[in-house]
Amino acid sequence: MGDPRSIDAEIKALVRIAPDAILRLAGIDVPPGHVVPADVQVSPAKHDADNVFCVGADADPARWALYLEYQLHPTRRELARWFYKTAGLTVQLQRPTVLLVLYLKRGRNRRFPAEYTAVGGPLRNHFVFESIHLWEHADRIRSGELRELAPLLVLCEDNPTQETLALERDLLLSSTDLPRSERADLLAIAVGVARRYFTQEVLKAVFREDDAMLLKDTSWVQEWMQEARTEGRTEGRTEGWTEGRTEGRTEGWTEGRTEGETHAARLLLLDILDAKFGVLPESVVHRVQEADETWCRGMARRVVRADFLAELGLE
Amino acid sequence: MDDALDIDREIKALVRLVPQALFRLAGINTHGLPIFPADVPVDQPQHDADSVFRVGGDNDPAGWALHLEYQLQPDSRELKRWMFKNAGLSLQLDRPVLLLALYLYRGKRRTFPGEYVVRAGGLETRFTFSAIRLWEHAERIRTGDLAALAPLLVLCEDEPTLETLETERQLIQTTEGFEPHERADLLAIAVGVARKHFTMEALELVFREEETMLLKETSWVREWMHEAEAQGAQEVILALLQSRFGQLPESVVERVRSTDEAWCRSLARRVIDAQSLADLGLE
Repeated sequence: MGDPRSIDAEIKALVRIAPDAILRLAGIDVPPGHVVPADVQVSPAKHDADNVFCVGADADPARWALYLEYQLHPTRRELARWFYKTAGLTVQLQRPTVLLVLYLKRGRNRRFPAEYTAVGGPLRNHFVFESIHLWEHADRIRSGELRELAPLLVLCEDNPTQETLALERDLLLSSTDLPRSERADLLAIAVGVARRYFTQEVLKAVFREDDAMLLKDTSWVQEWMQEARTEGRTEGRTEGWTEGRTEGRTEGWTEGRTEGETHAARLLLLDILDAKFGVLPESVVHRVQEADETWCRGMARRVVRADFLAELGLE
Repeated sequence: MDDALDIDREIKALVRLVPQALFRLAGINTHGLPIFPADVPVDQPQHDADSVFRVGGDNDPAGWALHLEYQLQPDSRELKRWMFKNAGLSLQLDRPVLLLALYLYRGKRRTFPGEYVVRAGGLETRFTFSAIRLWEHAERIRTGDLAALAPLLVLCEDEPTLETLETERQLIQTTEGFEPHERADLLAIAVGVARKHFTMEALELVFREEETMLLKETSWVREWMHEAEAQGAQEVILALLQSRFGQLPESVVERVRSTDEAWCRSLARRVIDAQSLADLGLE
């Protein structure tokens, strides 16, 4: 055969002219007029994978990648997206990519899909992937073999109790072979997951004051705060919660959240002022630290046009 | 659970923090290879499928689509791209999209894949699709059951002869049910495919003058001639670039192959004064 590229135009033209013949070739029985050509361009929107790990360096011929998705409740409509992301990562990372789906909670669900099937006429495509049911591994977590996954223990039980939380905490705090910062991060995650199930009082009863101090220094919480500031997001749940705890406040989660939002807004405004005017007088810092979120937002808009702090009424 | 989305942040942080635990959970053996996170958005540039057909209307719940890829010689490097295009089309068209690989020529090959499998670390991901070997259906073409595919008969035989071409011609000219313009298009395609195997003299023996005149009128041949012009110009430019700068990177060859004749002409003028591929914006 000659150059394969050069026959492409002929084949495409033929398929365009005689789609019915191609369908019959494949044993597909479709009434005439039911088949219309569609756009051949594939350009779907950007999608984010949950987690991806590359195994082996780029130059290693044995390199591969693990692409991880996790789900609380099995949702079939995600399957096509997982298929797409697996395929996209395979092309993009230039390494074989394996999809592993981690089903987090059994609940009342009976089916946890491990394949995506497309059916059309007599044709059938299968995309088969790996999956794990977390609850089936609960004993491995409890026994300490997978103690790093202790923050997820609460998901493994249908009716988690305060004892589940206490076990999580014990598993994490007794893992003295893990670096302190890692234990702190895991503890923060455990609180984050558990707060979906338990009241603040229960959490406080299990995760004590010294845990809270530990939490405040976690890289994870720091990163979370940084993210909230950088993206201008006004979430700040953890900030609020951590501050609320260390200051001995008794407000509920909602107040903690507002507190977090304000905190993030103040820090962001201070960053902006600092970038624009250089080192700020103590009085200005103090004024900002007293302000609420609305004030911070209004001030941020005015900073753009101001040449001096005085124009903003800050000096 | 009250809010499925809300837990995402914690799980992501956990997995990023202790990937080894996750690997142990799944029983994955990395054989000592290092692990590093690569949380990247899936954001691929546009790819083109060979052909796509919708079956059934937009609101038909039984609607689906056929995604066709064809190959002269099986090239397993293409498999992952087929999977990517198929998966992208499934999202884009929001209906089941069935990939059908059409292998056109047996040659000396023995395997014609109908799946793309990744095995790593004890895990496996598998994509299975339908595949057709054209030569296994040669008799259906010859008997007229699939007369519209007559232009491909030449691919079904290891050693096609002038008789093969004559059979193609007769199938196209005598089978009932084709409109005149369809016959012209099919003849044009038959000549296009056959010219890879036969000399012009051989083609002229089979496809006679009146047919050649007919061919010139087809929209498809005009398109084909434009393509041929572009292809000719590309070859010239590639030769010019090679003689000027030596062995060309694959990316430059691909770039040139995607251009039209006008682009080639404008580049040709600049090649002379350029000191490097970068001067031409090609690197």
